Amino acid sequence: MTEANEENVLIVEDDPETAKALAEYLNSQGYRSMIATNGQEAIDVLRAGERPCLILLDIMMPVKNGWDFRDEMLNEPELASIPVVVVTADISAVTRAMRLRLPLLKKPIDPGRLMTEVARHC
Amino acid sequence: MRASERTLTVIDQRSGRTQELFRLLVENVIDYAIFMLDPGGRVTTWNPGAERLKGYTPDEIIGRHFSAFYTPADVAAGKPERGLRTALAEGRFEDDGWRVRKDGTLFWANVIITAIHDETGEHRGFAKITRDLTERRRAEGERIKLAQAEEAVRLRDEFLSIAGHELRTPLNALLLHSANLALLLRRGDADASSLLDKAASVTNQGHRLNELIERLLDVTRLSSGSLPIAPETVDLVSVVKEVIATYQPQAEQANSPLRLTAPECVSGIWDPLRLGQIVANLLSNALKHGGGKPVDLSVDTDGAVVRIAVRDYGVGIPREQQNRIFERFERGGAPRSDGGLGLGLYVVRCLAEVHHGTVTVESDLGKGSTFTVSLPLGSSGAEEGRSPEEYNG
Repeated sequence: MTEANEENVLIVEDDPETAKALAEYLNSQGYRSMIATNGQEAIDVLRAGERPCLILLDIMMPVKNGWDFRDEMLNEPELASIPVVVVTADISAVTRAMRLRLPLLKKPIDPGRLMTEVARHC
Repeated sequence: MRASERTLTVIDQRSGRTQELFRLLVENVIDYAIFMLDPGGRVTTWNPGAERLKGYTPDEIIGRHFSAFYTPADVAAGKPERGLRTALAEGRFEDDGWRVRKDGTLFWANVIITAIHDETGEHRGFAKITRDLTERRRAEGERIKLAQAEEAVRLRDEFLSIAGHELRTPLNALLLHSANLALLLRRGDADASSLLDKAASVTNQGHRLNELIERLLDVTRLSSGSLPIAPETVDLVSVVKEVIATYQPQAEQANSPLRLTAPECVSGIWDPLRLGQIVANLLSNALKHGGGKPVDLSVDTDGAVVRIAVRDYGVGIPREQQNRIFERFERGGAPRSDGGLGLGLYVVRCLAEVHHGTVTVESDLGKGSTFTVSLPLGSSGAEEGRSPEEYNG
């Protein structure tokens, strides 16, 4: 099992440029991050023992979308309590995120709001 | 009176009552035309329903051949006789079709013709029951039209939502890169090369955004027929090779080797930019849906037409979706998250058509798809094997 790293943010994002930009921005702000390109990769990373301080979760992704990832996470007691912030350009995701009581950042991401969320958890 | 005589009388009375009931039934039904034909097809009885539906009084129609109810085209095609023959051979005949009223107007009828035999087995004629389904057919037509319109609106809305998402993706990356650049500049400790790196990322995302907008505009231009086409003498094989080179990194990422079978050169009169777009769209789809297996590209020509085929060995396309995938906004069941606008194949079709060509698909579920674009080499009679230079000379 990998050492839990309290400073690690897990970016779940299928667009490589967006993921890279997010990671670099977080890095400039002093946070480490890692990238999963879809929900399945993210769940694999968590099952392998990674315990990020926060998950930035895109919704529309191939293989496994953000909602399905969230459902699977909640089914595993060890993972259920990891904080998640939905990051999406899909307006229809807003109501669902509210119903699931998940904070949501709309794309294009406001860097200030992003850092508020990150600082709250990491 | 003896007991047996009494019984007979009762039966006679019953049978008389039954006949009376049947007469009342037939005479009171006004929603169905119920009448009899003799073995030759002439009308022998006529109920009020028949009068209401077809407009003839009993005097006007009894004794006339029932082909009077058919359109001249149907009569010429022998449809009335065919109906009787089938009814006689198989017991009954059913048909939906246009029939003619006395005043010449048409109605959509459901017709059942039943052959009638007496107790000795002798053929006595035909019973014919006709219903007017015009209104039902019209309502059905309206319902289908409405459903099609609703589907078109749904596809457009889904397209707009996807287009919005696709446009925001590079915009999002661009803004993050620029925020990052600002952060580094403010801090003042970053070296020039990492600053240049961030600036390049901003520019790249700007280009990506621009390309998406161009593709959206292309669709509008294609739909309105105002896409500028600039044909010139082009070697198609070089164009295909250039596209392959552009997609090489993506192919490596998808673990799909790109294999090309082509003659050295196939020259024709085409717009090289649009030609490249055709190949790029097909190749991009093949990589997206190719399931990490090789993608085969081929170019061949018979001297008049060139065929470009792009074949993947991936998921394939269900048969019922194969004729829809070339429509605008149609995604052929592709998930929303595949990063496409659902326009690629529509653009391919339109671009093939502006070059007087066609695009077709052959696909088996689970085995993959082959898209083939056929283009005429051009009016100037360009030939295979001649280099563009030779051709120009």
